[in-house]
Amino acid sequence: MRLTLALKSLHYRRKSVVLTLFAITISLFLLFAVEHTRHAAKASFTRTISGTDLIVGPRTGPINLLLYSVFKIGVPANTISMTSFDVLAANKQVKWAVPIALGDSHHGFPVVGTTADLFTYFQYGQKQPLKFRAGQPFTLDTDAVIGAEVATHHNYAIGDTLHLHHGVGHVSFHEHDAISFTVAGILAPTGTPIDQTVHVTLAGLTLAHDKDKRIAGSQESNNISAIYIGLQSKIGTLLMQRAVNQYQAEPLMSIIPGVVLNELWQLVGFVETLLLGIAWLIVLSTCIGLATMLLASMRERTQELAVLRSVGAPPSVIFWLIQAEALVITLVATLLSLTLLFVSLQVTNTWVAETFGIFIDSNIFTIHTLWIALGAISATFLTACVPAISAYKQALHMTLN
Amino acid sequence: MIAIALKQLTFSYATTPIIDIDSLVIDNGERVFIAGPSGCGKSTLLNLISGTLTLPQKDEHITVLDQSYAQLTARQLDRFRAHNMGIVFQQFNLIGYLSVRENIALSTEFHPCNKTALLATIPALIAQLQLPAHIIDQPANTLSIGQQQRVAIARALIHKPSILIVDEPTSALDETATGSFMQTLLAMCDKHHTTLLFVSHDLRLASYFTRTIALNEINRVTHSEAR
Repeated sequence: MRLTLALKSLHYRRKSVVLTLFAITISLFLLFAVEHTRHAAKASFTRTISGTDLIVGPRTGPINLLLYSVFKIGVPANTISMTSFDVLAANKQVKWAVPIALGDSHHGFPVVGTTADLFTYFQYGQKQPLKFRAGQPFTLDTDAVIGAEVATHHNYAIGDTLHLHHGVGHVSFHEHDAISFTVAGILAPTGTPIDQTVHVTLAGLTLAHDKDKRIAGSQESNNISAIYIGLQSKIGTLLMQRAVNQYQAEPLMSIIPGVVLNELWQLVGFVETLLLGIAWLIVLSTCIGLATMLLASMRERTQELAVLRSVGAPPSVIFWLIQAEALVITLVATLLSLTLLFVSLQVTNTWVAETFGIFIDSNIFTIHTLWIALGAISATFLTACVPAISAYKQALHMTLN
Repeated sequence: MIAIALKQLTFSYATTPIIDIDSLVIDNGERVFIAGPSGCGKSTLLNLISGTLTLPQKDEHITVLDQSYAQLTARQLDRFRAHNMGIVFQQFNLIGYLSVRENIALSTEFHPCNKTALLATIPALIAQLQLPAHIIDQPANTLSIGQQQRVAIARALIHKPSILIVDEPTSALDETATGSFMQTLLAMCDKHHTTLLFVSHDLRLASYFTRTIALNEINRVTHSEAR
C-alpha cells in the first residue's frame, strides 16, 4: 500500500515526473554509454593482435605504424622493400615473418597483400589463431581470403569474384579491373579489424598493379608496408628491435605491439576519464533536479502529510514515501536507459567497427553497469534526502488543523 | 471509564503560553462540544490530545484511555493514535488522487488489525453516511466538499476507534449540509459508542451535544495572550 501510495502520487504529478524521468534517463544513458564504450573499446583494442612479437615498418611514429598495420587506419607514407623482408625472415631469431602490403581497398574494406603464412601465425585475443568459416588459404595468385564482415556485407560465397580499388575509402577513382580475384576462403568472425579485411596474395596484388601502369603514383609493385614477426624466444625481443632499428640498407623501425597499444590507450585514457567525469556530473545534476521537483511538490502536499500523520503514520514513513518516489523514478530511468543503450549498440556497432576498427560488445550487463546503477541510486538517495528530510521535519512538527 | 483526563496541562510555543488547564475529565461515550473563539488554543489542545504535539516535560499531564502519554515514545504515540483515534479536520481531509475506498483504507494502514475484515465494511459505512455507492472508486477530488467531509468520517471510524476528534468540520459547509452532516456524525457515534470531541467556534452547534466546554473559561491563558 505504501509503495502504491508513492506510485499513485507520482502518477498524479505525471507531467513533472515524466520530464524528470526523461532527464535522468538521458543522463544515465550517457553515463552507461561512456562507461560501457570505455571498457568494451579497451577490450576490443587490446585483443586485436596477440602472439606477434614485433611489427616492422618504414620509419614513422610507433603509433602510426600500429594504426595502419593492425587497425588499417590511415595510409603508410613509405614502404619497405621485399629484400629487407627476406633478410629479416632469414634471421635465426625469427620464427616466422608475414609481409603486409596496404593501399588498396574493396568497396571501403581495406585490402591486404600478404602470404598464406598469415593464416598460420597471426593470432588475436588470448592467442587465438584465425579460423576458416569456409574455404581455405590461398592456393593460386588470384585467390582472396575475406573477413567475416566483408562476406556478410557483400553476401560473398566461395568462388565469387571481386575487384580491387586503388586507394582507400568508399569512393575510389580507379578500379584495378584487369585482374579479378576469386574468393577462396572466408574467415570466422574475430571481433577485430581482420573481419573487415580482404586478404590477397602479394603476387596477385603485384599483378593487379602491373597490369595498371596507367595509374600515376601507383604503389611500387614489389614493396610492402609492414612485417609481422614472431621470434624464437621472447627474450630476444629487445635485441631484435635494436637490430631492426639499426638496419643499414634501408631506414626501418620496429615496435612491440603490446607496448604501443598501451601507449595509445593512455593517450585516449585521459579523454575517457574526462568524459566519465562529465557524465557523472550530468547524472548528479539531474538527481538534484529530481530533488528540486520533489521539494517543490512538498508545498502542495502539506495537507496530504497531515492526513497521513492523523491516521498514525510516523514521520519515518513520510521520509520513505518521498524516498520511494525518487528511487522509483531513478530505477525506471535506469531500466529505460539500459534498454536505449542496448538498442543503440545493436544499431551502431557495425558502423563503429567499420569506421573506427573497434568492436563494441553489445552485452551491457556487466559488473561495471551494476556499479553505475548502484552509484546512480545512491546519488538519488542522497539528493532525495533533502526533500525527504524536509518532509520528515514537517511531519514531526505538524499539527492537525 | 475515563476517556480523556488532563491534569495541570500547560503548553507554550517558544515563550508564548497557549494552554494552561488545571483539570479536564471526559468520560467514555461522552459527546463533548469544545467551544471558543479562534485563537483560544483549541487546535493546540486537540494536537496535544491526539499526540501529534508532544509536551517537553515528561509528567502525567495527559492520560487517554488509562494510558499516560508520558510513558510513550513518539513512535508509540503514533501507533496509539492509529489504534484509538479517528480525526476529522476542517477540510482537505482526503488525498485527492486516491479513490474514496483507498482514502478510507488509509486508517487501517498503521493499525494492527485484520485489514481485510475492516475493508469489507467500507460499502456499509458509505451507505450509513448516506453517500451514493458509486463514489467508492472515484478519486476523492471529484467529490463535493460535503461528500468529502462524510468520507472523512468514514475514514475516522472504519477502525472503530474509541475517540473521535473533529475540528471545525462544518466550516466549509452551508447550513443545510451542516445540519445533515451533524445528524449523520452523531448517529454514527451513537452506533459505535464513540467518545466524541467536537471543536468549533459556532455555538449554534452546541445543541447537538451532551456537554459543552467553553475553552476560554477553563484555559487560564487569557485570550489576549494566546496566539
